[in-house]
Amino acid sequence: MYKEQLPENCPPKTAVEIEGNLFRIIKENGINDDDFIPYARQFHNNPRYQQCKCFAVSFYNSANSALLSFRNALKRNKILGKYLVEIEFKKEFGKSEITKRTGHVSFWFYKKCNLDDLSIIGINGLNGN
Amino acid sequence: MEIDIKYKIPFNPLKLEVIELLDIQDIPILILERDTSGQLYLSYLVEFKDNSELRIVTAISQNRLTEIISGNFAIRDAFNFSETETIYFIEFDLEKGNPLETYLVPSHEFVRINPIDKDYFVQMPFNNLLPVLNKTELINYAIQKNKLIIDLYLKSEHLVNNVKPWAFNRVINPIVEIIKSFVEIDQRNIDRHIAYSNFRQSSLGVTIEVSHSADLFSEGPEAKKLIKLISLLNAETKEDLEAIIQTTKNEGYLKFYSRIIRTIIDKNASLSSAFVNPISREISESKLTKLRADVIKKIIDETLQEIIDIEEIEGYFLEIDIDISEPSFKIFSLEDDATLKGKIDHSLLEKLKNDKINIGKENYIFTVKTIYIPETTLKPEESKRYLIDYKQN
Repeated sequence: MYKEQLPENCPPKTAVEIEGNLFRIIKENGINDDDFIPYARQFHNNPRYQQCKCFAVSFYNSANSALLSFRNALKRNKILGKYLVEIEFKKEFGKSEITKRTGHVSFWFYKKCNLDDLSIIGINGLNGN
Repeated sequence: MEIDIKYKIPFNPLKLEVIELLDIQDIPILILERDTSGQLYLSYLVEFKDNSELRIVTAISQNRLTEIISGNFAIRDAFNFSETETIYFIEFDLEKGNPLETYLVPSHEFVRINPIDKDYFVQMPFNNLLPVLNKTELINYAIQKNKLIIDLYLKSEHLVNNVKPWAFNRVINPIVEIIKSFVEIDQRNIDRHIAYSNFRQSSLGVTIEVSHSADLFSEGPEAKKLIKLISLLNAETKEDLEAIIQTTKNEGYLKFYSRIIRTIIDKNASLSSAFVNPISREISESKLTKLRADVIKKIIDETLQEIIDIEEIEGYFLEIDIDISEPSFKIFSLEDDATLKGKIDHSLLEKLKNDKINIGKENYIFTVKTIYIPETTLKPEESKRYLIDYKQN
């Protein structure tokens, strides 16, 4: 049902299907499959990061939340990407869970959701200032 | 971040396993880890290096974890005021997850280099946290203790910061009453057969240990009786419930079961249970959610309007009044260390008149019938007791 092979009880029962626009930090001026690889698959041989949330792709509910995370990562010597993409989400894309404090959204994609299904609203360049 | 080389230690003493991500924003910033003994650790991402990550790690109690996830405790303070007064800096390989370098920094030194922002708090729903004990730990614990283990984990939004009396009075104690009924444990010997351990707060976790008469090669009868508890808590249909009732000698436990069901609904709680047999090394689990409790309550209301329990009680008479329209009795139960009162069955009146009852002095075995009417939306639970027989002990 999901794009990733998820652990037991994942996603949590609190995860829901949503409709609306979400933001993601990406590497190039355009999206490709590599922009949606969850942490668990990025480091698939690292047993420390194989929990449910590591199989989700990170999105943000506002451009400001995404920018704040980008800057926080930069302080830790990590460049998450150079561009910010805004995508319109439909219920059939998957399930998600939001952390209200940070605006971070963990998104577990359904298997049937492809890159072509995603409607891009806009892409903007990022800087760390 | 530069750490004084004098704090470097030649090996990593912690075998850590990540159990929950408390804050992930593309990268795992704050995580909860656990060592092989079950000790919890808070772990904060300081920085990335070429192919590794540097984290600060400190041991943390359940109580402090509860404070942290309720959003009331700054993460900076959790490290500045470390409960063990030591902070580990551990560099982990990102590809394999193995520790590359470890530093052990005393708390008073760490406060000078603490990299965490003072306004950094986390908050997450309590039910996202895993129960502390996992299956392997439970089996090992049962073998270690050589006891039948029932591990309970009661979750409710009312139990986030502390444990309220209802959790014990209306869930844990009724479970113990059901265990006593199934395994036929006499109240006078309860301390020899039943014990609590592994109390966990977040919401409430507790292990109940039950003695058994198994030897190395065969199970005692208690295991088969106790597995009924898990079946009872897993019951979903009228047939499930009837199948359990048919195998039990009396129905008295149903009043405690009904009380648990009612509480799960009232408190929007859920009760996870695991029964571990140290001989077979098997675990049976149940999860009683509000949804399941709602279904069961309807079945109880429809089928169990009255629960009849007949029990033998050892004690002595405190009072007998047979000269009124509804003759009554008051006895003292030696098992329960409590006074019980009710009506005297009319068939017993003649016997009572003829016998020379020694009130307060001689011990008897009383046969008492209790008719229990479960609690409904309109009426509280009610029980009526009838003395139907007695004999001198």
